[in-house]
Amino acid sequence: MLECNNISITRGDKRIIQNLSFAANKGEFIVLLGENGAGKSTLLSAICDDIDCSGEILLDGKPMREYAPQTLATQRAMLLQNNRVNFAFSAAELIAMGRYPYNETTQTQAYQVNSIITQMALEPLADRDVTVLSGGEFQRVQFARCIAQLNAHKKQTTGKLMLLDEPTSALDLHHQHATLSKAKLFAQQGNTVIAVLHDLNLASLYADRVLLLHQGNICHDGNPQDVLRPEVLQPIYRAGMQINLHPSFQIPMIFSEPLIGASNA
Amino acid sequence: MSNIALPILNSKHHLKWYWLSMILLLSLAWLSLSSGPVGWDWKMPIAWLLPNSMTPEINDLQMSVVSQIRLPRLLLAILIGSVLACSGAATQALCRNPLADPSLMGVTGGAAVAAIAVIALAPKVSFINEAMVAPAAFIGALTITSVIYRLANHQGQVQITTLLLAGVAINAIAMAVIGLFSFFADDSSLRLMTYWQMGSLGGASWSAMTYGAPLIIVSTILLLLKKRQINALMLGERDARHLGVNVKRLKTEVVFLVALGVGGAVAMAGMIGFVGLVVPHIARLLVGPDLRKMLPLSMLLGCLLMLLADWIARLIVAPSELPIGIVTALFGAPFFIYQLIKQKRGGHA
Repeated sequence: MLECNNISITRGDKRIIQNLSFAANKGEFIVLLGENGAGKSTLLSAICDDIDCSGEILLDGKPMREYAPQTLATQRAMLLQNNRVNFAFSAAELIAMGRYPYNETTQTQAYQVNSIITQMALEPLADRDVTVLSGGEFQRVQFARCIAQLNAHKKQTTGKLMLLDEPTSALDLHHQHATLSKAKLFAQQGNTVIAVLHDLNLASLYADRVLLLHQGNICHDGNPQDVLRPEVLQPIYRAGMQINLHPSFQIPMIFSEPLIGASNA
Repeated sequence: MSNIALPILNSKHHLKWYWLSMILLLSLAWLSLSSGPVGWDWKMPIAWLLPNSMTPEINDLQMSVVSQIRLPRLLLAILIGSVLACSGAATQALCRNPLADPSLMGVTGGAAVAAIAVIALAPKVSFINEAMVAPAAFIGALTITSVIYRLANHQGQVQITTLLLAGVAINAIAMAVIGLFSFFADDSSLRLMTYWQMGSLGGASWSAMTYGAPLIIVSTILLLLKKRQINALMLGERDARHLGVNVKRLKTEVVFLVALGVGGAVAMAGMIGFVGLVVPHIARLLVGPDLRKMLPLSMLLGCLLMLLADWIARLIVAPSELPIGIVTALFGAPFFIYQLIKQKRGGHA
């Protein structure tokens, strides 16, 4: 379980996050929503200890900073945005790097990587050079690396924390669903997943809980039905929108309106 | 379960390159021990093992040439080749760019300035002596590496343009300072300085070896031991940290070890450029960028390239010899230009 208590982050003169608190439970798929600059990625970076923050971040009741780096790496993984690799690793080698924190034999490592490649249908990319993969292909490989980093050997993976910063930003429709389904399944196994998304409908389809960030704080916290309402979203996104229920799943679907008032209809 | 990834990760195909380079290295080592201005005989490297009746044509002078000149020179080539290749590969991982190289970044220049300052001052200042060349070169290299890395590192991203431009500036300053020292130096120091500037293995001797070799050996061994961590650094600083690498400490260690290696190499053989750029590139082409396979191969190939360059340097204008730095630059500089063009077009190493 992750607890963030009174997190504040300042960069230069600007206070990006102010006194933010929330707790994320095991089994939850949490989606962070909010306008650009609301502090979503910054919050994930703070949870990863990439940037300094005041306040307290606890993982399973213990301050995150008190964990040994290698132990923490087996408990927490993060998928970064826009992070290319300049060296011609094969996709399989890159995924294998997720096993860095484990002292395991090459055979075990290969078994792990192999099973993840199969689960995530990455076979066609496995021995391709990652520097020539498309943005979307590379994003899928990096996501697989995060899964590899947390995967327990020969037992159910539970109690881990996965942070995803815009995991679907470069993906086509099929792979958006494939990635988020995998993340959701991972959460359902008893892990915590926190993802930053911009697509409100994907958030509605997959999130167990939505945290809506505005000006560095959580302005709404609840399940998608409670948060994804026009009166909540319109002031934040400054766009007109209508919300209908999904015909099959009975969850809110957002139909936004063009700002210039024209449409192709 | 499908076995598609198993052959990729468990591949042993890098071993064949290890064996091939090892065989080539041994052959070239044999060749360089057997040949030289005092004569050529394939039995020379093992003459001391054979009874006199089998080696009547090899005299004591030739025997001592092998043990006192050719053998230290061979070992020097091996040490310098392995450390330059290793520090090149480590620097590239640190900067996350295959174009980074200690000689282009000015690290070699910094080490040379410090070494030359000691050589120039040694005859004039009583407490400065030859033993200080290696530590001075190390301090010169360390200063430049730290300064240049800080200059080029912006929020965890190393700007390769800043790195190379700063390298150009530092190399220019180094040349100017070396020029200044040459202006005031006496004849014997001047000769040493010229040799330092162009790089040569000609100064190899057992006594000279004791000053620089420990630095090189420590640097190479520690870089090899850290190859798994440095490998993770190639993903980027944040990703490496998320994998449990103590990035801050590792970066300091790499900077320190590269400076130690380059300092030792410059102290013993002067400025030999491009080895750290060319060799890791070839190794990556053969076995991929994974340092666990690539670093040992880089070391072997570095030794091989150094021996080859030294052999060419000795052969081409025999009985005189070219400074080895000229040979490596003639091969390395066009290669660097080719890499620049390739990276400009969006390709990667």
